[in-house]
Amino acid sequence: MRAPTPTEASAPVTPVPAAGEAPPAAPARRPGLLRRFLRKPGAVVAAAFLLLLTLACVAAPVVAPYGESEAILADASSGPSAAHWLGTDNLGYDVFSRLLYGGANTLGPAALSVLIAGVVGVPVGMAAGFRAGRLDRIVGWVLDGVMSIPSTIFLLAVLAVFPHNMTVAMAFFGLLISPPVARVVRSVVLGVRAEQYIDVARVSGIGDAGIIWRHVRSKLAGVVVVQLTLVAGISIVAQSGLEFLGLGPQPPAPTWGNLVSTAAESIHRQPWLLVPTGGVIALVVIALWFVGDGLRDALAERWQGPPTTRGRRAPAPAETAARSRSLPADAGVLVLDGLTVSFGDGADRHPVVQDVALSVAAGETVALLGESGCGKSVTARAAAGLLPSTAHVDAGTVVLDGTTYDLTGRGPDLPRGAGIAMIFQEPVAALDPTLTVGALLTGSVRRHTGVDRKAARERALELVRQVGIRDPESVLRRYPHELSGGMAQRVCIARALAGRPKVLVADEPTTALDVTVQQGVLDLLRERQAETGLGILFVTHDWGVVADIATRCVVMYAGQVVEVAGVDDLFAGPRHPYSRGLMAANPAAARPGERLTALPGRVPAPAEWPRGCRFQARCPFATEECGRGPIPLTTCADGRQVRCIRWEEVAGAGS
Amino acid sequence: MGMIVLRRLAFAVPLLFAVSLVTFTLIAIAPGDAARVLAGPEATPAEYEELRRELGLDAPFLVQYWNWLSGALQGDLGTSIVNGQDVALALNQRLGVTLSIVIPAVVISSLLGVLIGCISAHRGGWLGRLVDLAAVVGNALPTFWIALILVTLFAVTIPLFPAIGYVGLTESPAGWARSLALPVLSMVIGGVAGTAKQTRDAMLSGLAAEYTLAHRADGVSELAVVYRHTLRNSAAPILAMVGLHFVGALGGTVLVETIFGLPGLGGLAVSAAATHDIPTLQGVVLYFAVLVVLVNLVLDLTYRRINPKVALR
Repeated sequence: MRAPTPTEASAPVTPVPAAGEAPPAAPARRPGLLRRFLRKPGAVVAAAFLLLLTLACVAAPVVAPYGESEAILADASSGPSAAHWLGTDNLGYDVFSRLLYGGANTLGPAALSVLIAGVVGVPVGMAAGFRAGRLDRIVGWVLDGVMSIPSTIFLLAVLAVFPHNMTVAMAFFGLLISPPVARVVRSVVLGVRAEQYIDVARVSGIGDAGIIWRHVRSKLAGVVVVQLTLVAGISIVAQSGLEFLGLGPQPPAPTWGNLVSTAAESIHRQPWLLVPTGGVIALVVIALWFVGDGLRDALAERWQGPPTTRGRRAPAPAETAARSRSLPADAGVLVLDGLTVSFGDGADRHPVVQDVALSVAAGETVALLGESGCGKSVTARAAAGLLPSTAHVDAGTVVLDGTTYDLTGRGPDLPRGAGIAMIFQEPVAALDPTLTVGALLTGSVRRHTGVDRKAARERALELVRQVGIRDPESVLRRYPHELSGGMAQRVCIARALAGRPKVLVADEPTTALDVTVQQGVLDLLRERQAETGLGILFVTHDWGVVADIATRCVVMYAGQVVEVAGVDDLFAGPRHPYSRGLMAANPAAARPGERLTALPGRVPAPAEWPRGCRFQARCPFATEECGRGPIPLTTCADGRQVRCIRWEEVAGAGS
Repeated sequence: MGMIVLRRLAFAVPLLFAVSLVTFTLIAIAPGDAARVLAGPEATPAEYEELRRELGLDAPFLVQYWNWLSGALQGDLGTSIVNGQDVALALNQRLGVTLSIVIPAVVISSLLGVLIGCISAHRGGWLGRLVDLAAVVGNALPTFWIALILVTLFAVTIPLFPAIGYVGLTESPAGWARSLALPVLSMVIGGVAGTAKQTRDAMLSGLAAEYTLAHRADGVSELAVVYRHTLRNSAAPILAMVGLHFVGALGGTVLVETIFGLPGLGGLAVSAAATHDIPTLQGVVLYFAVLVVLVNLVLDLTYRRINPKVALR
């Protein structure tokens, strides 16, 4: 998944926890769950309302202005007044008092249902998640079965057997409504298994159950509470429905349901009564939802970390003045200039790509290099006008085959598919699972050329043949999940070529493929390029791929271009310390017996970009001067570009 | 296709079996029985015993269940304790009324819900937030309360529709439609809210998928991305929601038919529960379970047509 979300673009690379280490606990200074919950006004108001109402219902004999069965006939059927806040019914009962008394009758059994749903749902979900396999399938099947029982009708049967016994009925309801709880618990356990098992347990060889349990425990409590607030709402609605039908405690005992049914009896004379009686049920359910929602958000913040509130100054004028010179418009089939992209809103808005310029000539392959979080994917996607709606393009233009497009508008009208096409890292995920290869390709051909169905099919066959797929007829009939990764990437390339584009943006197209398959895809791209003069912008962090396919390299660091050079020149002598470090850290270049050099530190998040050189914290060549101000992109005498004030020393230093 | 239908039905048999057994067990363990109800409080012990024997209630539990089951398999669901009517006959007479509330309610709320969900996922912003809020409120309003409010508004205050009663389709099609308008509408409101929310969530995750980006990268129009490709890919959760909504609507008939005085299965179930008419209640539970099985089968087949991944498995 390479979608350039703000989190991906800005999040620091979290180190994988070492084996046996405690689950990643929230940093000490981060506020607790309760504090984070208290920051959500809607949820707090809802929680306060529920708490007050529950207390008032429990303490009804003390709090209620009138007694449980204190009917004042003289006041019967009156509207809201100082004496009767919510009016009275046809027998002269005070509605407000009756609602408080009825609350205890209604909320008690509903609470029992919630308790049972939790007590049954949680262990069942855990068992299914932990044991997986056959048990999981059986549990899933039983849960499906229970969920397909119309619970109301089943409760009628229960109430026929235990007349007017809401406690028994709601205990059964708790059972019937436990499947969603079990489902959620199961998916949490399975999710943790999938992450942790691969990351930790397999590496360390520690038995998985213990580790999974530690991680599950930290996530489960909140998820279960959220789910139970929903269950509580459903239980209250279901129960009051049964009470409304007269199947609960008999009048004059008040319940929320039979207060509504009393109101319904005088619907012609006093429709007002419906408002407070049904309204309290609706309000409680809505309040429960808000509490659940607030809890969920508060929990989500624990996992993601709260959004940084530290403001970031706008780019200083000096920085803007230090812009690289724009390249002439005729420099290539793709010319990207002055691209600045930011994510977030208000004080949290941070640029992730700043003033990036690059160009790709016809028949040329330009590699866009850098670690994760340097902004290379964002740059590549911006060039095709494919940023997510959360991204703001603050500035930037792209020239495609001589036509200039402004990227700042909402969804620039780029000739996607025809002028500029794209292939992705996960080829199978990039193919619509509901379309056969044939439907996909003929669709593309028809969209870009407007030919009829038959001609489109011919062309689709030709495209499939061109990408080196044997047996094209049969492949056209297949669905994406029936293709191997390499085959899927070939299909993606065929699709990308359907509109005869001038430029292809390739976003790490070989990263997810087997090494043996990678070579085939690279050869294919080279071959199609030789035949059509396609310009390729190739995003990668793999030096082997760079050496294989690229003609020129653009190295990015922390949202800026730091070095531009021909591929041979770069390999012969990088001039930016980052390029140098990145190259030294390349495992493929390591010689046997020699210690692998790792690039120390990590890419700073956009909010943490320093004032001067962004690489200074990790740079062995850094001096005091590097921190003084923005470093310009310098064009050297030989045409190479580098963003370093000490590049001559870097180039001079032996490797 | 035929095989799939058979397999799904084969899977449904244990479910129906379990539902009937649970209901039966429940009734067996309950204090008191049908004979007690039928005999009335003044009956002598001898009369009561006689009645028990007549009703077959003196037989062991499993024998009783077997008698009921073998009858049910031949379409004989026994007779009502209250009025001696044949249960299967009574249910068949009322099935049409229930279906003419539930099917329009589910169809209308699904279509509206999917449309609203798509638009809100596509346009986002305040519309998306509004759908989220409406879903919360719509789900929180008890169906019976919505029904009563609708009666107050559109039958009492502005007498557009009858507040109560049912007109047969053959009697007067217009009258039939008018008598069903408010019951259907009261079910639609909650249903639209839930379906819209589910659709919106499914669509949002579909719109964030890599293949959606690939469609856009290939110049597919935004309208086609949303309404052709993403909607198709979001079919699974949406159809699952429709299935659950159908189950909920069946349960809702219990309230709605009572409020609007409609002679359907739900209303019958309520009166059966109130009068301890166990055979009738058993029959309604069975009918509802069969309806759910059938609807899930239809949804499953629909889904298989949409998503090849399932179809080929």
